[in-house]
Amino acid sequence: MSTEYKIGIFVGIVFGILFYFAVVWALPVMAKWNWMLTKIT
Amino acid sequence: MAEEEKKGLNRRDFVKGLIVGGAGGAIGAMGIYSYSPWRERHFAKVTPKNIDIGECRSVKVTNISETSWFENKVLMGDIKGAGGLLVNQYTYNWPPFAEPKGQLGKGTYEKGIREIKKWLPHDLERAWQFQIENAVHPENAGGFSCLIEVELLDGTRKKILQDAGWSYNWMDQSYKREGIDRMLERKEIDLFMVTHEHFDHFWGLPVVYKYNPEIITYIPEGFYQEGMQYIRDSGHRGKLVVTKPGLTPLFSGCALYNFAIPIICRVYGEQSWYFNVKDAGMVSVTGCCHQGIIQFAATAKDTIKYKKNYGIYGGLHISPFEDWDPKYDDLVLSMRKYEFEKVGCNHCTGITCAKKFIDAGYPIVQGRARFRTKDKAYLGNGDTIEFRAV
Repeated sequence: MSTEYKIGIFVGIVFGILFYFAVVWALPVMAKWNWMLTKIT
Repeated sequence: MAEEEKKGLNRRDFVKGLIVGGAGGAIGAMGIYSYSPWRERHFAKVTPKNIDIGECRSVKVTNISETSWFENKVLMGDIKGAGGLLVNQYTYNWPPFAEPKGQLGKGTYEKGIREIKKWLPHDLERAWQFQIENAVHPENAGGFSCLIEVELLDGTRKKILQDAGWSYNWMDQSYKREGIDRMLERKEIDLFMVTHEHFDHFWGLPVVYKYNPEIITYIPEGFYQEGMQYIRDSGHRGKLVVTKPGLTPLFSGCALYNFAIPIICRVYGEQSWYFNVKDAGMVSVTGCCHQGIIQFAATAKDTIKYKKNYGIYGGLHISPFEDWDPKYDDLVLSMRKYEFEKVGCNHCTGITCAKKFIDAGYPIVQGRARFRTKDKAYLGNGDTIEFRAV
């Protein structure tokens, strides 16, 4: 296992966790936008 | 690439690691999040209503009959033959609504009641004889009914008859065996409550009105036109109370709860009891518990002010036809959370389920398997259970 691969895994884990929590945060926000859109249209 | 390799860097390895790490990180975060307290922010916030229904001293339940039908195979065969579990129960041509030479799945309430109305509620032997000659599997009909005796804090006692069973013959025999006929005649029973419109809890109605046609009757909102008409056709002359969905406190320590839910065989709504027993805790009594034991226990917690769960009685509707599915094991396990100290179950709980409860170490009160109850694993016909502080 090369050093680049290990660095890639480390960076990937950090971004993977950040990505997941971004989705968890974004879904309710998106649902709210959707609700606002239904009110407007 | 050649330049990078010369410098000792390998972009391909880095990207491979990034993909593996990214997937692992995201999946790991899901796992951590699912088991963390943060997940609860997605749950609906429930503020307990803490309604004070008062307290009573004790509750005693006498199981008049829990054998709603005698052979699962016959009952399920009829239901499947008539078109399945969602078919209107009044079309089965089951007793007591058989038309002459009734065929499975071809009947109606109107055609059935026309044949027997002249005999209700005083000549039930002739009405049932007609069923024996014309109905689909009249010999399989039994019924569910129990007597609930509540002692209030001032020492007075209230008697409640819950459900009317199904077969006129079987219910009349069962009422006579437990002395319910005399209690009804002497007007010792304060009220009669029908948990829901199902054949095995409701169709024995004229047997109750034969002995006391003026008894105050409580039914849950949601009865179909046929059910409402059957109450009139059965000879009821007293007050009829239709409970709304939610809590209806009746007297100190006693409340009805109407669960507005759809039920198999085209029935809607079921009501059950909550009794707050002083120094013991909450005692929940049900007929068939189509609302589910979890919703039944959780509703008490979210609605009523009480210290702890103490007991539960009735059909708990887990394996009514003795078919077992691994998902029912989850229900058995989930019961532990509610910490019942005394469990009296029977009827649609299923014998298989009662045995699983016993194996799981729950405080099940076992019966004596008399009067056609098939097993001692649960409370059978003629058995009693009492809930009071020890």
